[in-house]
Amino acid sequence: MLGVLLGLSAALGFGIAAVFARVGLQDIKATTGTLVSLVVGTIITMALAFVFHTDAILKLAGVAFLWFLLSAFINFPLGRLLNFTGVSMAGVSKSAPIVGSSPLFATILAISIGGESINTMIAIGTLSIIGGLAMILSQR
Amino acid sequence: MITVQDPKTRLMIGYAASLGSAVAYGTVAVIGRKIVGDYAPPLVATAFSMAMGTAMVALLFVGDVRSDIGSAPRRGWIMLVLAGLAAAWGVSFWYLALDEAPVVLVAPLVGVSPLVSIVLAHFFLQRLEKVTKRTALGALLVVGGVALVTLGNQ
Repeated sequence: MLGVLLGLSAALGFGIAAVFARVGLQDIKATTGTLVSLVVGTIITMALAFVFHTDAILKLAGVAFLWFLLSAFINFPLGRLLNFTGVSMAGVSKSAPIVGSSPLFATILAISIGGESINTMIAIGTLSIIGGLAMILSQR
Repeated sequence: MITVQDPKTRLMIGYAASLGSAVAYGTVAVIGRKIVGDYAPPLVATAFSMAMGTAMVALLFVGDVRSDIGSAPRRGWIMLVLAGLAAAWGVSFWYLALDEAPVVLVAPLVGVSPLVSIVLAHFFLQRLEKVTKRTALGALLVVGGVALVTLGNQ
């Protein structure tokens, strides 16, 4: 039960973040907005990381930083900036569900590159996501 | 940063950007599995990746930031700081949830965040945008589909 409440709290945080971003991006460019949100996020997550995982940080291998760099490039100058651009131009109600479909693309990659297999549940879920995206994207 | 005035063009760019973001986040999820499996706990990976991402965005878009510092109203800055705080709250609770429950339960719960945004937009952003029934139904299909894909991947 605690896990459910914490998971829903996380969803609430992400959902509220998109709405605040929508309001803020009326006055400020998506690029600047991305930077502001990242500065705040970095301060908090870095503090939490040092509080809970000091030993792991001190033992990080050099190659891990190359992976962090790759992840950072795809996640922030691409993912977060495109997310904020979408929120700013299409509105949060249309952008949020489109961005929320990202597990579909992770699954496509895992199946096509990682050799993972597709099953009935994934197939039905994929059809549902594509149907939902089509409903949203067909609006003008 | 390009400024576009035509509403239809803005909408199309917004759709394309949102889809691009979903592809980027999906790709990061695959890379993240490798990082978390081989190199670092999720919170550490997120913190360092976010710090590097901050530096990249700052270097790439320093001109935009400078022009906004001189012209943007205080309200915009406050809202974006609040957005950053709320997103950090989301990340923190995500990791706390993963300490208490399996990912198969937590991931679909976190996946309902678009519905949270839509409900809040409907009640608080009526002057900025209209939430249509079509958008709400589409979002429900996406969220349900994401839950099924997540469960199917376990």
